[in-house]
Amino acid sequence: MDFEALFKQFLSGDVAQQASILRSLTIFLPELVLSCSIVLMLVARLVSLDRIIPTHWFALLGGMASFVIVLFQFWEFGNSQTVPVEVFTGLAIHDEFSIFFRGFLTFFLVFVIALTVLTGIPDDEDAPDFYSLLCGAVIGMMLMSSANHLLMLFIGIEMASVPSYAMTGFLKGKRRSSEAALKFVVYGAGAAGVMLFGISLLTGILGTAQFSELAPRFQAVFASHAGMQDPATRCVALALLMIAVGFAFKLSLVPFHFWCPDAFHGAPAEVGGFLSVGSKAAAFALLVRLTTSLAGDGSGALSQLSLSCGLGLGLIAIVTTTFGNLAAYSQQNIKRMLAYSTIAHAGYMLMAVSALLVLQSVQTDLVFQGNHQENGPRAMEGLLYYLCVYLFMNLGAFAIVALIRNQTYSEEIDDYKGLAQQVPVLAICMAICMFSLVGIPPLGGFYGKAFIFASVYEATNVHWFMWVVLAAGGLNTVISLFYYLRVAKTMCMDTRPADAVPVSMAASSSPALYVMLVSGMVVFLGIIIDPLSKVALHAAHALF
Amino acid sequence: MPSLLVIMIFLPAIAAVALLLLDPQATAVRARWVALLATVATFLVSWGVAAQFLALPQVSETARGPVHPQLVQRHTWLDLSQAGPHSPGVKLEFFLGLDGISLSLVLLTTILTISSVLVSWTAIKDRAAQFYACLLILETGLIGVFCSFDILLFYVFFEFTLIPLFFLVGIWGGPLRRYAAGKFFVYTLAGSLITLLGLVSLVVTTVQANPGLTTPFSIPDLANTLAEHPLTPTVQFTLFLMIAAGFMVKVPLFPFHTWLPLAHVEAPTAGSVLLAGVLLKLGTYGFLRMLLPMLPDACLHTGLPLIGAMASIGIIYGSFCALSQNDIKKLVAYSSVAHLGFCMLGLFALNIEGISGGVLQMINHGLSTGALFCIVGMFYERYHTRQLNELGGLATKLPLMGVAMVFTSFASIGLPGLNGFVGEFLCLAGMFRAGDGQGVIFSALGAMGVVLGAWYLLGVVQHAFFGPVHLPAEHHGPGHEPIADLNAREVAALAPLLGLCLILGLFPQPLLDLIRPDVEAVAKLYGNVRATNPNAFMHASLNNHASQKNLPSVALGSEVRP
Repeated sequence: MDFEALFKQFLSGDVAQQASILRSLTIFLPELVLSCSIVLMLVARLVSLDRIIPTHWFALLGGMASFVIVLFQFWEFGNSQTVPVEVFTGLAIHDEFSIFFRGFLTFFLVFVIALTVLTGIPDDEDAPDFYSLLCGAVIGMMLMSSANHLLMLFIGIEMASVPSYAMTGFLKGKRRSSEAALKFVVYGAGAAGVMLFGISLLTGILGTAQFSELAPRFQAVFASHAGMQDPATRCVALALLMIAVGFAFKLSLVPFHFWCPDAFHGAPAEVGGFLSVGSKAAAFALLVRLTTSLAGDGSGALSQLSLSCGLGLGLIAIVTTTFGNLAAYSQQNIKRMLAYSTIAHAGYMLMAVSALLVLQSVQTDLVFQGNHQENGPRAMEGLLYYLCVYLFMNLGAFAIVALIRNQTYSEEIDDYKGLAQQVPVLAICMAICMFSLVGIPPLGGFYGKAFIFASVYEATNVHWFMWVVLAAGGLNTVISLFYYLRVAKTMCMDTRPADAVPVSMAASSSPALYVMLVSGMVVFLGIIIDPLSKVALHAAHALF
Repeated sequence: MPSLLVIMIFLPAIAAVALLLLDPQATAVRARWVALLATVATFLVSWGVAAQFLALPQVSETARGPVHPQLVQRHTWLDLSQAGPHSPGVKLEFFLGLDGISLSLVLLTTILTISSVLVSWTAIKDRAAQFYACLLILETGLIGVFCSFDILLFYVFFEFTLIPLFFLVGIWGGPLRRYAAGKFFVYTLAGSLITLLGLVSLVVTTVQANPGLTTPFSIPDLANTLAEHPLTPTVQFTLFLMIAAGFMVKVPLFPFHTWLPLAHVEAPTAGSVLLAGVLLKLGTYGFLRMLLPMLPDACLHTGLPLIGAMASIGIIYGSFCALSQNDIKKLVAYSSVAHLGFCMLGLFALNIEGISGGVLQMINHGLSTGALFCIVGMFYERYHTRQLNELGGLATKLPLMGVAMVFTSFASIGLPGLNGFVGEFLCLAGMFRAGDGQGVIFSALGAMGVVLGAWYLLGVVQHAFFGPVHLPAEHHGPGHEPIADLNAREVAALAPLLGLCLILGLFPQPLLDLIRPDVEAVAKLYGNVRATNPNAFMHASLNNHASQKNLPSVALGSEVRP
């Protein structure tokens, strides 16, 4: 495409299903707003404006503005017959699914910024650095969720990861924090390298990096090939495995989870909360996008591919949940425990993806929802609902950890003894979050889990292995009860030792209100499930 | 304006939230008055609901399915059919209602909660506001289970009761409370996860077979569909085992009962009262609501022998365990295992006598064991011991309590004239003519349990209340009042329970009439199932004839509901 043509496209018309650059930029507005607020924050420090206006206002307003813009885009999609378009010459895609995740991420960004303001990390000196890293990471995650090209996939992941490394090491004076950041970087760099190699292999064999092209090309290339004896098949398998390594690192799946407990232990709790929800959500969005476009319509050679990917992910999910739950059991530090719990929850969510792929691999009519076209979106709906509840319950837990740390300077579970007597608000909210993480009704976590298990159950019609996945999921729920209950027990049932540092927090103070809001949302999502699940299903439909 | 039914369910929870939010540091005095007021109000509302229910015109037998709730409130909760024109209108609902069985259990719950507030009056001084809040939230959960007629809503309430009870046991319980709370939680959660899987499978398989069914999560609709198009026996068998798993733990049936003695003993008195009185009934109620109407074939061919055997072993085993206890609270706890065995024998007799007996026994056990736990709590509060060998001649010191204990023990044993007799008799009589001969064995074993029951309970009465006076030294610190007999509050806690024991013993007919239409509708299914097997049918009808001669007044009673 020569310059003239490019310029023409910039100004005027949309190619079929592709937005012009100008339109792409409008669609990209939420990310642009966030970028602008980063620039503003940095400039404000140059001219000492941050002495007058605290930096977090820039970040907070930027986050809110971009959330509002995403909401507007959502409204636009719902009202008019807007169709999904590829933006920036096909590098990214703009559909309900990406809107859902961009909304999710910006909403989450606002909550995280509010939390950091309440807990006072970072201090005024570091605030511009911290918030620009935070907003930068969110932009990366938003790119991940709307990626439509293998290159965009890699760029998104890196853009989300690099600020995360820096934020993990943000407590500069602390050895543990620096150590955590270093481990995170080394692991991340390694995984990224492997993933990039996998991407290049895949692109080489299929001759395209465009997501929408992957399935047809695969169909064409492998129409005649069969079996693992074929070198091309083996090459593709290797490529997928390498890409999977990159994802496993981002999602902290076993056996690429080692960074996670250390990073969470060393990082401030606020960053832990951010990483555990934000980067998980974005990585799942990307994983689902990549796998569904690989699986295509599940016909011919794609069926086999989709089934084996699904079963492989199912196996990883089983190992991950089991390992995460067993390891969490013996932790003494609450952040470490929550890190392992994050690993376990990534496993549960991976079960949804696995079920999705297994369901996509057949074209016959299955039960329950009537026709097979409904099964994929159902599994996705479960995943999206789970992520939304997970946002609140995990953020709530990390927020409480951060608030207690500010007063006791301790993150050991033993130091939480009898907090119910001093700060009943925090204890009750923590109990709500913990019970929801287990998945006890009528809290939100129950429905997330129930939706996911229902789709796994659906997938048992396709392959018997899904019964194993289902059983592992159920068993793990029981195992996880032990360590979540321990926290609730310690906080609510023990008596506070006389020499313990007292904690005080009025029920009407803003941190307490924040915590009540977040855990109130957990309860709310457990009672009123219809609206959010509708939105989730709507978003899920964009993919199929 | 929400209906009385909805008010009844959520009133205690609202009171609990008010107690927690408005005044978390409330003194024990204020908290317990708020709790008493809330429970009494709920009780009154529940009578209002009962009056509404009784005023409804009778439903003819042909117009109703196996499960037929009235005073129905249905609101769509989650519409799963939004996806497209192809999928059926599957949806989850807030489906609240009442039938005779659930109404009687709701009334039991509201009465027992008042008693449990009264027995905690002075026993709970620590964090009283939170204690009563937990108690009230638990009441909401319990009433909710009995009023929900949507499978998922049922499960939600069923599981939700674990949370307040976990805190009740774990914070205000005995020395091993933390262990007991954890064990209880893990056991029941593990069981009920399998139940959830079973329930979902039940719904899915039914929809698969009957694509026209648009509300498969509604229990009445599901039961209607399954009554017309039963599932194949193998499917029923698998589903039965899955769904029964959680309920077996909850009841608890014999090999799954180990959580119960621990939880009962460690729980505070109010917790034990509600745990034994109502919580265990969630299991039997689950069997009655989910399994008997839905899977008749499996209930008859698998349930009857399996549950019958587990229940009769439980009766004998529980009784022997009770016999060997020194701790009176533990003894009462094991007696619950035995009594619930009678319930299950009755339910799985699968005929009118048996099922009515089972339901009656649920109420009876709630009343008499609730009262027993109250009494145990009362003398523990006075003497700080529950060991049989440290107590003797209590009746001379505390004559009123002696009267109450003797009365309650007789009710629990099943002395004619008191409620236990009617229930146990119907259960055993029902079982006697069930299941081609095996029923005779089960009911014979069960009857042995009655004797054993008399043995261990009379043993307690004789030893602790009427033996030579042998009481622990009154080593109270200064400021403690001298030990006195039951005061007005304690009498108020016990009197309703004992009064009901007597009334139900002398006039069980109104209660039997209340539940009869619902019981008949379920039992009718088994008439049909048996009819497919000519031999069994002959057998059953012969027995039916015989039993109508023998039991006309008790089981079948007047033909019209008042």
